[in-house]
Amino acid sequence: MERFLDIKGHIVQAYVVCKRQAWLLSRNISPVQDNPFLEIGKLISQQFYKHDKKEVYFDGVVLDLIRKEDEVLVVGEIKKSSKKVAAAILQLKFYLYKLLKHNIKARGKLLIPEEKKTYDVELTFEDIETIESLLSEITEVLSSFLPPLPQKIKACAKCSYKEFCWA
Amino acid sequence: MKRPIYIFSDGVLKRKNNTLYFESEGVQKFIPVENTSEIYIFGEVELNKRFLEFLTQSEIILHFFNRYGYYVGSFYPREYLNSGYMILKQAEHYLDTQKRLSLARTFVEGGYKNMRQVLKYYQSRGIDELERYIQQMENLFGSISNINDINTLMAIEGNIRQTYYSAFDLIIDKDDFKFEKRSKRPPKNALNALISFGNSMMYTIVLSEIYRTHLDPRIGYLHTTNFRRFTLNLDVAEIFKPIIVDRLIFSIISKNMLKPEHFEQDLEGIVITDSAKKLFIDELEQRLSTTISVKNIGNYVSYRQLIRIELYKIEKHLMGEKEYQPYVSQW
Repeated sequence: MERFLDIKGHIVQAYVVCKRQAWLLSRNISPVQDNPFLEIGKLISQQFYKHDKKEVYFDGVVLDLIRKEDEVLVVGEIKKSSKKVAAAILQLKFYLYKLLKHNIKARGKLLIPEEKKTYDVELTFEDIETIESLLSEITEVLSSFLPPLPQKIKACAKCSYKEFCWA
Repeated sequence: MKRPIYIFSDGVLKRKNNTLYFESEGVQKFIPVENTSEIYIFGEVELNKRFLEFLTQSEIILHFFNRYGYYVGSFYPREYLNSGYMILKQAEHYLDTQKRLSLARTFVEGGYKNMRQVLKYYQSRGIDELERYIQQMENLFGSISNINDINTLMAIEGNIRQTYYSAFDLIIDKDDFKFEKRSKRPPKNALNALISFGNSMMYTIVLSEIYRTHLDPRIGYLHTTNFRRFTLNLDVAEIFKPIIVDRLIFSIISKNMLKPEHFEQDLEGIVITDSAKKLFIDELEQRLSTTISVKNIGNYVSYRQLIRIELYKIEKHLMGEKEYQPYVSQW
């Protein structure tokens, strides 16, 4: 089996929404770049939080933003909308989990500047268990020879893989 | 929506204030970089490395044509979509003879079916003599399933295309645009010049779409790869040449949009004038943006998107997910 263990944050996020997308991402089959929704997303993370440290590389993942609040490290994840909040929170918890593995205690903040919303995220003991079992589940799906078959779900409508999946 | 830019005049292309800028005798023009998908250069244009760097950063391909309208080459910026996985799959299907043959056959099949579709279309509009050519093509195509080497396959593809071209005089039926026989480099008459120009355009359009996928244009299956030239675009173009280029040529000739003045005799053969190239490209762009409904995708897609979808289908074939079936027009 190839080494897919260095799972990236966006793969975790994608996995929760669509397993097929996670598989494709793991092969670096990235989506079409001219999807307007992707461009909007990029612009939003460029535009906001100019005073914070952004795009920080850490142990193979990219943290959208880090800052210190009351001497505690805060990891921020910037999203365009609150549509897939659950997946985004999980992605953030995955980062906190990675940091914890390196003995760095941190809090998470999900930032949705366009909606002026933030969600505080903390890693609990149950979360650690959930993430560990999720990671082994992801590893299993990603190591399969073929990607999971496409399934029409709600997310397909605006997905940048749409043409690829249904071609 | 991003659009291609065509430059016919002579001048200087440069980067200015984070966008593209073209300067020619008294004319200065900004070209918005965000809206540009690729640039076609027909005139004498000067450019520098700073400009090429900017194109790479903006992921824009540059296609060059010489004054005869022949394709010169492309500036293919550094790949921005990289997937080692896909490159390996592509190479695997090239190195395995059976896998390569089955893909190569599919390209011939797609080309053949679309050529037949074109002839059938004109047959349904009352040109009965086309039946003979359709039959002949069908016979030739029937033999490809037994072929086990690429060269013979290429030869049969050539014969099918020859038969198809010889039916052109029946469809066009205009003295100024006699086909006689296929002549290239240089084309001997106006129709041949148009076909050559249209095909070159088709190759670059497919190449531009390949740039937006994870496929490597240097690994083709029907057209032999030597890892230096682009060949995958030639393979895929086989499928679209009949339904896009040839149908376009028939339509502009039948509407009398082209006159003998649009062509000039040169020492080397027939040259298409710039005004004819512009006219052709205008019509081509219109055709590429025409939308049709496609099964599975759900909504209407343009012919340009259709080419991209064809490339996705090839990716899925290489991944082993879904066997590649070439697009066949359904008019």
